[in-house]
Amino acid sequence: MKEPKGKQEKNTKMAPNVGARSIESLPDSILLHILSFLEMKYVVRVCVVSKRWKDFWSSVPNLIFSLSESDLILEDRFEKFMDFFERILLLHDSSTIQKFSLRCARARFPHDFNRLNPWICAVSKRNVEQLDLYIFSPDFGFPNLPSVLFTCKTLVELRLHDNHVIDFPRCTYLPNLKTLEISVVDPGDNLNRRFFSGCPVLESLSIIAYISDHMKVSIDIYAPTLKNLKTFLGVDGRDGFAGRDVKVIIDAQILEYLSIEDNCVAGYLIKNQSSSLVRADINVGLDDLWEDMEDDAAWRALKLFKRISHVKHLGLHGVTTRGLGCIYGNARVTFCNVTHSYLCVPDLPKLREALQSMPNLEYLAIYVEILHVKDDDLEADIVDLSEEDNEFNDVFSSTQAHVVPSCLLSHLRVIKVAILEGTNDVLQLVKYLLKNSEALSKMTICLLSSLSGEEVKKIKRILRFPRGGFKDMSNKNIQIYARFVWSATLN
Amino acid sequence: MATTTTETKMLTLCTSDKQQFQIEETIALQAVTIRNMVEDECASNVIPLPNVNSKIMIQIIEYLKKHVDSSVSKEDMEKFDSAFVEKKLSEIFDIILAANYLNIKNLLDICCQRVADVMKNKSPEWVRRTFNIVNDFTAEEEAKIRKEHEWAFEGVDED
Repeated sequence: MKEPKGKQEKNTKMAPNVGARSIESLPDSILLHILSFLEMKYVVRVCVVSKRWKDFWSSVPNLIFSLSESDLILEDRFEKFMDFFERILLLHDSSTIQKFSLRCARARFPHDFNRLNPWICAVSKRNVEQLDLYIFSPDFGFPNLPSVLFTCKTLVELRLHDNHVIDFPRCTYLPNLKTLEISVVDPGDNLNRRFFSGCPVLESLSIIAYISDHMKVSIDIYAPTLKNLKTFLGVDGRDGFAGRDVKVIIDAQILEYLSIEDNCVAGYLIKNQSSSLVRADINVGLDDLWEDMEDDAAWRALKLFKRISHVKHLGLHGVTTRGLGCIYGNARVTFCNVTHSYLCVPDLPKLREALQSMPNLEYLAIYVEILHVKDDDLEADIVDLSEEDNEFNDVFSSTQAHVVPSCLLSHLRVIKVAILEGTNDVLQLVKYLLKNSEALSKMTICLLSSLSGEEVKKIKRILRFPRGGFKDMSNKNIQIYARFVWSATLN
Repeated sequence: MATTTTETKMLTLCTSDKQQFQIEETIALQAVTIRNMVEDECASNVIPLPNVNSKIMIQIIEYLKKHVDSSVSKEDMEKFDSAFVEKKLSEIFDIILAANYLNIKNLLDICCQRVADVMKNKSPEWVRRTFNIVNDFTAEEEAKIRKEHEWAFEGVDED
């Protein structure tokens, strides 16, 4: 059989229908699926390409709208958008909307939103499964977010960002809701047991709360089906003991992942703690908070750590490790099961404190924060010390008893270190790890910033540091990546 | 082609051009259509896939092999996906049809997303040229539709 010459150069014997397939050969259902990834503006725009495409916009299952900053500058731009938005919603002929998303850069007047509100009500009655509102309104909030949203039976995912002042409904009934993301200003005690009991199948919850100075907040999460929980609490103004006024109760028996972030060390009470929790990321406190002896931040942190002490993967972010030192003055917490850890540390003593609490650690990722200005005077010491290695330990033995954390002696196999600069603090830390990690099989150094040749050279001295663990003394076990894209994930 | 080991159960897939692919069952079962056939026991040793040719099957197997590997991190998987869809559009359309038939949701989604990204913020003329779509509107009809949806035609990217 002779092939037609020309555009088909591929061998079509194997598959006669290959050729150059065009978009027109796809069925309508697939074209609609493609269009469902586009913002409504673009969906409507392609409806003029041909008669086949003319009415696709009215049956595309996802309605995604976005209003940029420039759309809101002039009154008539906003009016035009609203005309478009209302026309689409009126004429869209599907009784089911899979996803409705509205992103709005910023509103100028509350009445902008008063016009949107009825439409959000209308959408919630069209069997909507996913509803995302990203409406930035710092000053006056989004007025009276329709309470019908909180009784929408079909909703599976609900995201309410940014900074909503929400009129919480008297009761919630979201029987199919699996994902809830909520960003709210001064929630008071509205995020309570009654609110969450209206979400009986909730699996993933994210709460972002901005709290004004001197406002009391109590969040009571009761969710027996919850697997992932993230909370972020940002307290405005740092005078007063904000952490004492902010309480979070977590009652989630099958929780697997917990992420906690705040700037006040709030009071966390984790009830019904079970072995299901395997991963936790903690980022609490502010630098000077830990030094404030009048506040009981350290005790609140200890209570939190004790409740999550059985996790396998633990990330201590930001200044959290600095809180460990305060805690150790009083009581000790041991993370017996932790095998994978991400630690953000300022220096070697803090790293050792953290490692001492994780006796079974196998994989470690470290991000070394640079706190001090580089001290060039000490640079000569580093060179010497790379040959004679005892002096480092002397530095620390004077301040605290020198016990090598047990995980270094037996378990720790893989270390990743992210470095911004090659300061002496950083090099000391790496040197300590190389010398004392007896089970180490691999170390990776990632340089986050682009360093000068001189600095890279300084960091490469790491390769000459004495090693306690590696039997193989060649450098294939230590890798240095310049400008490596750092990721906190370990594997 | 993979070799059979004693532990892993293998499935044989037969494409429209009568090529046979032997792959591990765990890899193949990610395709819901294949899973249903195996679960309903209506599949014998050889599973016929009359809507997929061997050229596309090779690529789909590449995708499935990566996605069955639970040790791959989420970021690496996203990197793989975005590299995987860097193909000619005609090839993407073939994969879309196969993924739709085999019911591999994520593969269908990443390919449809790729096509959608091409259309994003482009003029209708550009979309027609790129996708070989013949305009069967009269000038008047087209102008009328554009007027109805005025806001949607503002701020188009340059071709």
